[in-house]
This record gives sequence, structure tokens and C-alpha cells, in this order.
Amino acid sequence: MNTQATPPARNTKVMNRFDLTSKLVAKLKHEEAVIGGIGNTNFDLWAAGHRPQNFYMLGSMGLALPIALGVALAQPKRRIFALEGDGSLLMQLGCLSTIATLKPQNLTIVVMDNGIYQITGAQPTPASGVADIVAIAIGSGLANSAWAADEEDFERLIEQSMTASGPSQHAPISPSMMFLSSIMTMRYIWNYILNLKKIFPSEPLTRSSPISKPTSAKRCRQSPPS
Amino acid sequence: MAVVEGLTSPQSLNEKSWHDVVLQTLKRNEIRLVPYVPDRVLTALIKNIHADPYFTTFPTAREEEAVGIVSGAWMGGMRGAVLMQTSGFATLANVLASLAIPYQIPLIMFVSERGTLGEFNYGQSLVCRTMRPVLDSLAMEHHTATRLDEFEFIVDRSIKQAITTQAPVALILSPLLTGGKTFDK
Repeated sequence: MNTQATPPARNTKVMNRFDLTSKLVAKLKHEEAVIGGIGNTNFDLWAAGHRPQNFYMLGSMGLALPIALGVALAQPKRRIFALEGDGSLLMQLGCLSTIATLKPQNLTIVVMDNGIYQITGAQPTPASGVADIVAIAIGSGLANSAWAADEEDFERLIEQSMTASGPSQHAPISPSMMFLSSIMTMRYIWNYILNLKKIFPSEPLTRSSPISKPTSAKRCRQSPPS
Repeated sequence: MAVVEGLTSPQSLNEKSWHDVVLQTLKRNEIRLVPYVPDRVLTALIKNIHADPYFTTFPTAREEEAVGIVSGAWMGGMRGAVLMQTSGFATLANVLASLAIPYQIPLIMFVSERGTLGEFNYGQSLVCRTMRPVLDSLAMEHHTATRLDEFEFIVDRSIKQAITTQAPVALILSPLLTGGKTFDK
């Protein structure tokens, strides 16, 4: 994205979004919830291997982070990951300040920044040539925001976020964390289309018992409605 | 989920204000999470919800952000409601149609009605006209509350219906109920 930024170890390496998503999912051992934003972020999330704790957002572009914040508030003992794209985030930058204000200890935000609206034909976003999303996040109050320099750095940051806090741990680092990765993915587009049919199964959605109070962690939907 | 008793006797409600009714009915239905975008009419309600430790309440930058938050909270087992004004509701068509309705989120919205019964802002009066057509076109449950004596019944029953049917509901707070916003000062 902002290739003119001077410091090294920023978003200089182009990584593969599906590869990073797979690396993240492989690290999930404690029923962590993952909220996939609109488009390729949730297609990759599905393709990395469906988990009941995944939520695949459909059309409300920009709301992956607010949804993840809601889950984080409702289930403070569960770690929540939000996967979002840079174009989507641009639609809802205000939510960064909301998250910074509420300081959820259990929320990790991953923004896949490729500078384009890939799913609509790879048009550049208005921010692609000028804005620095990490700087925006820091300026919004999320001080602990960083670029992932490479795949290894991404994994390190993910692990760091998972040990940052938890049900019984209180590590002295700030709660909301944002790791951004410069991403370019092209080879999975047909997989996405095939997987769409799996994401929206033809069988009717099973509702939970309507009167029951939704308390269990299993409240996360296993699949979106058809 | 007990149904409110005595709602047919208006005298039992005479001492409550409309915002007391909202706050108490939210509590009775275990709705703890209340993100909002403020409105002048909602000031007392917002202040009282902030003062009550039962609630988790905070402002959001946009109404759809608040909708996303309560949607995620519902998935995690926590009930929420969103406070906004008419012009804020007008920003929600996409999120209602793509998140709240298809994912069967019992989204409870309190909309302070601007744009009618003495509106001074031309823009508000125009955008107000889009609210009910949008709700109707999505076949969403909505009620306009105008009277204090039936308000608790409407709020309590609507919340219960939203949760049991997993469908959103909009409760429009008419100036007839709240006094609305006037251009006096």
C-alpha cells in the first residue's frame, strides 16, 4: 500500500492472504471465534477449513470489526479474531475508536491490506496511494498496531496476541491489537466461487430453541442461513 | 420472559416517564448492551442507562456499527438494543437486509422520530418519509409509540417477539410520546 513509507519491516513484503489465513487457523486450539469480513476474507476463512466458531459475514461491508467487538463483549473469556480487508475497513473507520475506547482484552484484528477492491475487479481504493492504515489505527487509539513484516512476523504477532490476555492471564500489553499484512492473492478465486455453495447450504437453517436464553459459547452459528 | 402484568391499567404507569419505561423494560428482558448514536430526545434515557451499572452502553460512530455490535453480541449470547434517531435509521437499509434479517438477529431498535409534528429541519422532514417504507419493504415489524399508557406493553411485547422469532423490530418514538425536539432554543 503505502510504499513510500520509510521504515523497513513495514508492509514491504507481498504475502498470500490464503496462506496467512491458514497459518492463523492452524494456531486456533481453544475454540477461538473468527469473524470473516465481506468477500475474500471470509472466503479464505472457509477455504482454510470450516470451524463452528467461524462467522462468515454476507453483505454488511465494514461490519466485521463491530460484529467481532460484540462477540468479544458477550464472551470475554473467548479470544476473538476479526479478519477484515482494507476497503471494508475504510467504510467503518469510526469503529476503530469505539474498540479503542472499550479496550476489549480478547479481540485481535487482522486487516488484509491489498490496496484494492479485489472482488469487484481490483480497482484501487481511495486510500491505496496515500493512506497508512496502521497510522490510522494508532491515531484512532489502537496504540498496539503494527505491520506484519513477513509470514514469520505475522505468526509471531498472532501468537503474541493469543498470550496477551485471557481468562487467567494478564499480560501488560494493550488489549486491542491490529496486525496488518500486505497481501496479494489471485489464485484462489475459483475456489471461492465453489466454496460459496458450501457457505450457503441448501438445507434450511436450524433455529435454536426460541425461548432459551442464548448463553452457551456454541451460540455462534455453524453456518449462515440459506 | 414473563409477560408484563397490569398493562391495561394506565394509572399504574402514571408516575413513569417514557424513558423510565424503556430502561426498566430493557432490564426485565435482560438486554444489557446498548450502543447508540445520540439524539436530543434520547438524552435522559442515555444518561440513565449510563448511570445504571446493569448496562454496557457506549456511543458508536455510525448506527450500522451499533447494529454490527449487537449482532455479534447476540451470537455470543448477550442481548442488545440500539438507540438512534430517524436520520440514523435511514443509513441502515443495507445492514438490515444483509445482516439482521438473513442472519436472524433479534435487533431491537429505538428510533427517536424526527421530521414530523413540528419539525424545523427540512432535511429531517424529508428523510423521515423513508423510514416506514423501508421497514415495510423489508416486511419488518415496527410500531410507532405515541401514548405512555400503552408504551410498556408495546416495548415489552416487541422485545419478546423479536427474541422468540429471531427477527428485528423498530420501535419508533413519536413526539407524541417524547415531546420531540423543538426549535425553542
